[in-house]
Amino acid sequence: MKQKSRKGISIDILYLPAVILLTVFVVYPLLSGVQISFTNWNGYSSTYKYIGFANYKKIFHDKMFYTALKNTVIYGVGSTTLQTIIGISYALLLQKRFPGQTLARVIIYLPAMIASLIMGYISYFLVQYNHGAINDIMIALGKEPVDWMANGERAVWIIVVINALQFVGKTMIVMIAGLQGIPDSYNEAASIDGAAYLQRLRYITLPLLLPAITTSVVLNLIGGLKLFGIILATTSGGPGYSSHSLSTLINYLYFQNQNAGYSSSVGLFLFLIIMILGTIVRNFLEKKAEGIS
Amino acid sequence: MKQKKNLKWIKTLAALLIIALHICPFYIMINISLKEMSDRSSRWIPAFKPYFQNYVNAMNTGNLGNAILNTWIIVFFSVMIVVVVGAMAAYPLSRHITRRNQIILTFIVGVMMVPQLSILVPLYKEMVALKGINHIWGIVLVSATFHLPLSIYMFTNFIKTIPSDLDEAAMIDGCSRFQAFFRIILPCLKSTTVSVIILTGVGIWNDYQFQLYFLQKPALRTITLAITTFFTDSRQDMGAAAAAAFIVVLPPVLLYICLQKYFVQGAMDSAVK
Amino acid sequence: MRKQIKTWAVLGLAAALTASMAGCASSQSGSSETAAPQDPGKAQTAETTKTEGSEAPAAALEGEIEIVTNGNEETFNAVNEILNNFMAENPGVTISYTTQGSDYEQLMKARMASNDLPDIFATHGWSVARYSEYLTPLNDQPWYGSIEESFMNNIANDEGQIFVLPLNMDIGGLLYNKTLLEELNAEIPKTWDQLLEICEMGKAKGYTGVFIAGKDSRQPASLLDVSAQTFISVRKDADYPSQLLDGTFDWNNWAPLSQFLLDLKTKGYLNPDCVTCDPIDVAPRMSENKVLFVITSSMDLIRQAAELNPDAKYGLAPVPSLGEGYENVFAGGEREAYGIWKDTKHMDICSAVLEYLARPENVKKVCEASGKRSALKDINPDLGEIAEDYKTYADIRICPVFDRAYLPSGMWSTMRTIGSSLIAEEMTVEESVKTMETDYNTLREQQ
Repeated sequence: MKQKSRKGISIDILYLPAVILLTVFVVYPLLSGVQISFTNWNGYSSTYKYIGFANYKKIFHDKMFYTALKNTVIYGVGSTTLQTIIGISYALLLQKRFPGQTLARVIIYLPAMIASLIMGYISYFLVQYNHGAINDIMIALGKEPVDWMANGERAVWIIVVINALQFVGKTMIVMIAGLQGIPDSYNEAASIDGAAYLQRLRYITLPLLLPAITTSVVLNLIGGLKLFGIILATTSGGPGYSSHSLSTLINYLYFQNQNAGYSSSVGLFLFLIIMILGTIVRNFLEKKAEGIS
Repeated sequence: MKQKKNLKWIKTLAALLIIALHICPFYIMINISLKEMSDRSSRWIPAFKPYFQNYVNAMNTGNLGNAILNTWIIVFFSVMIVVVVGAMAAYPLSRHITRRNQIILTFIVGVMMVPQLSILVPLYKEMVALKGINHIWGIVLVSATFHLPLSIYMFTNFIKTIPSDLDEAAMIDGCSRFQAFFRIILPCLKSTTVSVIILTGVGIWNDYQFQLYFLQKPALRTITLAITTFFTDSRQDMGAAAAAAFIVVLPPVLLYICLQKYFVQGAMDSAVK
Repeated sequence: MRKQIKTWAVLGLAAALTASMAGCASSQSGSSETAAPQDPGKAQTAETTKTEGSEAPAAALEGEIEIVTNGNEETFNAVNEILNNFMAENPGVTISYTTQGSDYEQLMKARMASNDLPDIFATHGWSVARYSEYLTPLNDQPWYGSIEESFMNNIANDEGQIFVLPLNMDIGGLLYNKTLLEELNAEIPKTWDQLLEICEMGKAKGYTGVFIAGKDSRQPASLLDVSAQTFISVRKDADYPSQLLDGTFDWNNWAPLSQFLLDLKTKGYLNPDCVTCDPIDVAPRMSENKVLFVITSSMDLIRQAAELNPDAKYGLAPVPSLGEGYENVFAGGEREAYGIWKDTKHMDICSAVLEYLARPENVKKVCEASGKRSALKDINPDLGEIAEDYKTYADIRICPVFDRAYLPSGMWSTMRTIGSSLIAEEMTVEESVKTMETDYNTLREQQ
């Protein structure tokens, strides 16, 4: 209707500061990154050569890249799934008052306040082979200690669990907020109709939670796909390169392998993946939510 | 009635189990921080003779007091920018929906997905050219910029839920668009602002990569930088490392315990809608 | 009630605001002062005020410089003390000295990329291959003559130019547990076969043969790097070093080394958590007296283990050889070595600082604090028990660190990957050889 401001200047200038900041500190470096991806720059020297699309071609037959790509998807999708399921369960348990409810909410959320690098170091004390807290329990139970992170695939899943448990509190809070937005009358009406708890959950609660789920899934997915700190602190991408995510791989390629050009092209690839996956999931969930309301 | 009471007890039991699970890492961390390095007993066994020297070492060698102060300063100014610039940008983007503005909103949300690492070195070169390395303003601008998209995303979502009759009525009363924004919309944004402050504040508090590169002087070291020095190969003191971790974890935890209510409130007001 | 909370919140916010405003004002003035050298205009004003205050003689050194290192805590403290003395003698000079630990190489690469380097920085063995482009040649310095001759090939480029002042050196070799060897009635191994035999004997008693803290892939890489001395560098039957340098090396000759590491693992001689153990845990584990050998260039481990448990006695021996008639050697390279950025604005201060650091009493201090040998002549530091071992093996040759001497810069990370993958059994020997070959060729291209 009234799309234009009445007095001269469009209100669009209100977003100018934001756009300027983003252009200067994100877009410009991103474009320089594109330029670097066409070179064989080692990341520090003042000389380099342009090598065309060689770095992009290399992506498609690089074993390390495929491992990291696979892991990145596992980190993203795996921890988002876990977080959503556990988060909703916690929220259902902790939405109404009962003794211990507040304490549980506080404790579950706490780890989300901690830098994931620090959380990774703390987790290392748990999964360590020698004197690790979990292995001490194994020994106490008369079982053989296990070197948890020695197997790359297992390490990936352990990292997924650590990440999910660290941030499950965030999901829980969003879900609790979502649950509180559902009028009691809906559930009461259904329970008078004799609907069992699970049925109510399936047909009333979860559909009404969809907007909350959308928000948390999109944010968790982006967080999981960018996962970095926990991996660095627990395995540093090892054993070998088997638990690298694309983020840690970029770091490795740039600063250790001295392959800044290739690292940049992997970085752009990661950006594309996050962009595509994030948009797809968001559109899908938003459509579903609209369908309901 | 009796069944309901039983249900309560089951719930409490379940909650206790969950609490036990989630508190384990912290218990272990505190235990390590209270034991001497030469004490090789299991980490589940409480430190009967607490060894507080670890904490003294952590405070002294890590210079944590200074680090905490630096972090507060950075978080405070970055969050200010994130809130003010974010709220301002959200208004036209949610009220004045043109094709161009939609593209801009998509662009801003897209930035949320740029991995910090993939632009780190170009950004570093740029900051050197701008003379922003080792200055508080440099890290503040960069941290703020990277958290802007989330703030804009949340504010736009929220403003969309405010009926536009509200500001139109104000404009009919003679307010300009700008006045309508500052007088009518801004006051409505309080609770969203709280959750933006919390989310971005915690994010910046915990940032590592940017701070590592843009703050290289020891006097400017932040807590994440201070604590990682305990885990690098220059030191071999796990007790002090755990103690340092405990010390830096404390402030955000206390903050959360005090502001618990606002966390839920904030999540309810913004993220869900 | 609600309203009250709000009022308090507002008040609190206001208080926080004013407090941090004040805090900020002071901190900002602080930061602009420390950052003065980046801004010539400001630097001058800072200098003039200082001169007025201190009445320094006209020729005195004035200014602020930044020195950065990745040295460990002991070394850092020793150097820091020396620099403080320097500042006491030169009141016009301010030195900001920091250690960056394991993030050092990353930071330095970003800083090189932006040509924004510290005035003086540690080169951790890469003064020629990586940093020389950014360093000042130092052959004309007064301390040049006092560098150990045998050490020159570590730090000089093809034209004989050097870029750093080396203080002490890392010695790579074999750490062995004296008590356990006695218990097993075994001699200090001279060949790899003898080492494996002792490992087998130890395995029967539940001892770890060779300890690796592989969570940090530098550890297995360091084992490969040290072992490469006798596997590749000093072969009497082939001149691999010059082949590596001119690019004609047949990488299949690397296979025995990869195989050796893999064998240690498959035969069960490594610690069970060799892949996941954090380096922070090496000394404590050595102190438990269940570890026979560590192949490393961190000699400080001997002292650290003894501090945790005085009964944990370790000794240092040269790298075992391939067999009878092959040579045993140590690997040796500079540890703490400082170079001057070619674009520094304070060349006079920087060379004065290096000259000060090079004084015998100061070099001695650094060597004793770090427990490492001196890279300068006639220092004779007191290194404690390890001095005995150095004396015993005084005739053994010290060869330059393998990857620094013969591989292009950047190969270290490849060695990290293959070392870590081999002990995790995630890579075959053939794959590791292939990876080395590919990266070697890519990195040679860049140069």
